[in-house]
Amino acid sequence: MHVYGTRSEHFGMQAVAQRFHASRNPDAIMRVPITLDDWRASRPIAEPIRLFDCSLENDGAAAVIVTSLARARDLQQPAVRVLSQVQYGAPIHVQLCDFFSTTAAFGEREGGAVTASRRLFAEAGVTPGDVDVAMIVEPFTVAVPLTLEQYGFCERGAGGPFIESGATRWPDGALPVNTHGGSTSEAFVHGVNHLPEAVRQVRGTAVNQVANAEVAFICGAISDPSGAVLLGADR
Amino acid sequence: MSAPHPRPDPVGAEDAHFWSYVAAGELRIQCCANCGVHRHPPRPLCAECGSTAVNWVPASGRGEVWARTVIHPPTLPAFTERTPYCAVVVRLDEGVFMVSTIVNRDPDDVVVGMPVQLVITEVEPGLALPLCRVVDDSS
Repeated sequence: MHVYGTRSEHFGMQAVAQRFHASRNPDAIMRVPITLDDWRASRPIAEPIRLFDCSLENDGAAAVIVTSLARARDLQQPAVRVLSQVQYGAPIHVQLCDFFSTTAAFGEREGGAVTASRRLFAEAGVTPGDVDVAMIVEPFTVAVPLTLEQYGFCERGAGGPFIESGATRWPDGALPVNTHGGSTSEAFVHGVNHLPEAVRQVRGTAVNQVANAEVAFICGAISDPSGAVLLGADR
Repeated sequence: MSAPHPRPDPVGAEDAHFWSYVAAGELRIQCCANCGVHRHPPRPLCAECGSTAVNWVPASGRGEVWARTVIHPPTLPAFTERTPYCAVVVRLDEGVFMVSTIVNRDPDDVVVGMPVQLVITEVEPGLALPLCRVVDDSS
């Protein structure tokens, strides 16, 4: 925020978008839509993070079945392909935090995610522009612009304006993010619930279905260590 | 009367080393004996050259506010009466980062880039912590 001028309202706009997504999702815990004014009225937790930027506290579970493509095609539900996956640690490992290593203080070194994202997209043979929908694990909404920037969906520092443009909001955004509502509005299951939503999107069975979604991006919290997956439709 | 302040809970031998210096009133950080790069939080290996050879050198305590936040309830019981308070990441002149709090400014007046000095301060009997004072350079 200090370097790029990202505003706390950018986080709020993502919270509002995700609550809208959740309002249409019968599995979501928080289904009452909120406005940016509601977000402003929510109490501060650790500035600039407000209550509505925080993930929920709840029980929950999710599962995926990973098998061969041949077996997956033999099952009742349409198969989804894992296009590529990466895991990474930061160049300078600070427990659960990659932020220090991605700044000028460290000579503009790349964050671990930046390096990993190149491999992620190269191995899948796609570019960030080919991605139709993204699930970004957000312990706090701040993770969304950070992830969008580090994985190349927008320029560094442009994550806030990207959200402000409506790009992350279903159905009209160029890259709807957390179409199930995410950790802040659907449920907090440490991001495991983000993976089945990505599967539903490329199958074409999501509640907030992105039209003709072929490629979905899923990322663990933008921390250290972390990882990401690209899923593709099997057609 | 607020709840007792949580005590440092070292996660390894190097961390315990750091806190033993603090308890003795000294702010010391690791400096790689092979390549001379400072590092903190304490770790067994140098991330630059991989060496385990290390010296614990006195830190200046001088630095600047690199990041700030203001903490509101809920917190651990020991901190509730202090809220809202400012938590900062300080970048020391040696290039390492430390988490601390600012004791001589209102939270809303703390901005990134402020020059600060870490001072080992007894916050309650038997507990010393490196706390941060903004260095007044306006006069």
